[in-house]
Amino acid sequence: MKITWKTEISELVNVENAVGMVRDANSRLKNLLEPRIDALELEMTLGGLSKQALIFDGVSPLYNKAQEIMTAYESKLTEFVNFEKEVETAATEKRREQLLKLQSAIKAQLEALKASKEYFLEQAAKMAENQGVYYDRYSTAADYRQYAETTQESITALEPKLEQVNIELGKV
Amino acid sequence: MAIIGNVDYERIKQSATVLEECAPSEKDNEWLIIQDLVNDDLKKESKKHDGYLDSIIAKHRDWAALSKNNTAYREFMVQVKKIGETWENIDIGVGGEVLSGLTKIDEILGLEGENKLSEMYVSHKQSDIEFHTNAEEIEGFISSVNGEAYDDKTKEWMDGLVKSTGGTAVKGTMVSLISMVQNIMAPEEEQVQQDPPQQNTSPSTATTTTNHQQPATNNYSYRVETPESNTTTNTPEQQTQNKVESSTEQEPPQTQTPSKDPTPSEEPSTGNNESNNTGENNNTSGNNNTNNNNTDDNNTGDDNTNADKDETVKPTPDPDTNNQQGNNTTGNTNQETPPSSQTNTNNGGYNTSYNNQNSNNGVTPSTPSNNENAATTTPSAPDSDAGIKDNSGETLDVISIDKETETSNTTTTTDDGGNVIPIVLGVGAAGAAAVAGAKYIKDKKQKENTYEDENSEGEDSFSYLGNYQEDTSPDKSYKAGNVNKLVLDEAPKDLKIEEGMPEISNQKEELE
Repeated sequence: MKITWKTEISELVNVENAVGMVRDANSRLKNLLEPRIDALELEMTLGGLSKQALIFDGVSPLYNKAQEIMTAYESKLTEFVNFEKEVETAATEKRREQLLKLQSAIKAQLEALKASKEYFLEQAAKMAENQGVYYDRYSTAADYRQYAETTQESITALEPKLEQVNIELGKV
Repeated sequence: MAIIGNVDYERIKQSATVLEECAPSEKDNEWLIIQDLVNDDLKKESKKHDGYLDSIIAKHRDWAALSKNNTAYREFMVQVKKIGETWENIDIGVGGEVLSGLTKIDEILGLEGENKLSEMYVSHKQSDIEFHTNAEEIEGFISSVNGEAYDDKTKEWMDGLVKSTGGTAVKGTMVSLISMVQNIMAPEEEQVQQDPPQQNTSPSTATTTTNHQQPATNNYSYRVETPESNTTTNTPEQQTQNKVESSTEQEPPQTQTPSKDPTPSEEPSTGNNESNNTGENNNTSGNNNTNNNNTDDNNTGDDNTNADKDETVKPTPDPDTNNQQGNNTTGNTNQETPPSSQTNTNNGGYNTSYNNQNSNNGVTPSTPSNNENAATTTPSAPDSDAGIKDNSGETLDVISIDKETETSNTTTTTDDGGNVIPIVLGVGAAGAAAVAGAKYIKDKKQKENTYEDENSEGEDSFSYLGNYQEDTSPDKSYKAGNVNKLVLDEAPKDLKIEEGMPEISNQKEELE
């Protein structure tokens, strides 16, 4: 994705959205696995998977097996939580990156617009004094002033976006 | 003392059930779907922004491990259930092979080398092995947890468990059972367990084991005890009289008449006519099968009996024992086995095995029956007896004819039973001989009550019965055809019809 000053902030990575997708999936996964984990814990505590349920020479193979399974479940849930965090981090970083790019692009655009405005105003002044504008037979000083005003309008419209980007950058 | 197993069946089974409910197989891949969905969304988002999440998604996209764990989880649930069932079968039934069950658990748990339970079991074979059961604790636990969910099935199972553990929460109650199984698994299958008390500790399981694997082991110990059962007042003569007096429907007792001598003859070939606890044995077999209280009363402590040995044992005519037999046999509702005139209507259930084992019952001479209910309780003659028709009494008549012809030739060997008919008939076609003999006996019986005299003669006649019963293996059904086969296979060739019995020869001619 190429970031320009025209890029809207909404087009950038939405961290909340990305993390939300993972968080939602994580919630569904918990709803799916936690009952099983609870059942395992119950059976391992009181049921047939307890250490006392089946013992062979002091070893409780069923309990150990259940422990392995439950550990695997818990590790998967933890892994999914970590995945959510990683996505959040990556999205945030990406958003920051995009915001920085957007900030840079907006700043560059603002600089260009401001330079253009200055140029138009300068030309308008020269036209008014009849100096140096011999090559533009079709434009008048009023026209350059109009260009400068239009450019200023663009600058005025773009500066809040830069401020917004700065704010967003402050968030990420 | 090596403690190999500490089993809490109900908990294991309950755990398996709970786990199954918690993890339906249809939802096993649900989290994979969830992950795939979120990954797809994230990938789109990431791709739109130069794939900034590719590395992260790739890092966490390997959900095969999760799927693997899920599969292992499901397998584990199934395994737990299998383990519970396996141990249940081992402890309650004891009919299940312990070693195979342990081997199965080894496979389930992936145990190898010295950790194999089967190896442990074999290594501790000569030592005491305890299977811990805690029935009361389990029952209380189930009641407290499940409450009303303590259904009939669970109760039935618990009852079996409590029964197997001797009615109490016992540690090590299965020692005797395991020792029995060990004996069964031992190469010496011929070993006779001389410790009835062990068996008594766990009656239900003990009976099952004996039935399944080592049918013949316990008979003798009980035989020693059986003399107590000889409390019947009927003398054999009275019994015979009763039989004669009884209608033709009165069929001889399926069980062989127990001999006065408590010593049983293990080998069928020994031909000990005297040693007969078969009646008791029969009774015991009935006990094993049906767990009838009546049989216990009749049998007086014959808990463990094996039909095989019963067959091997050669009965001698004891009036007392006959009463027991009558009691036992009468209980038999089996249609095939001829019911004794002494019929206890209660004992219906277990006789099928008994009948199968003791196909001789139909052939055995009818024990005197004092029971008035004989007509009602007497089972119909087996289908195989159709050739002989009517009641087993006819078959008894056949034997009695044999006795008439050759009372002195009675032998205890199994061959004797087959020899009886050829001796009488002296005909190669045993089937025809059997039919002819039956008819002859029937006619003769109608004319003369010679049967009483023969029965009153004493042990010889009963020895025929015993011999004949021994001849028939438990697998052999009570059929005239089988008898004929036995005759053809084992009958002496030089036998001849006695001239003093023209009727038989006449019938022979008719048949031919």
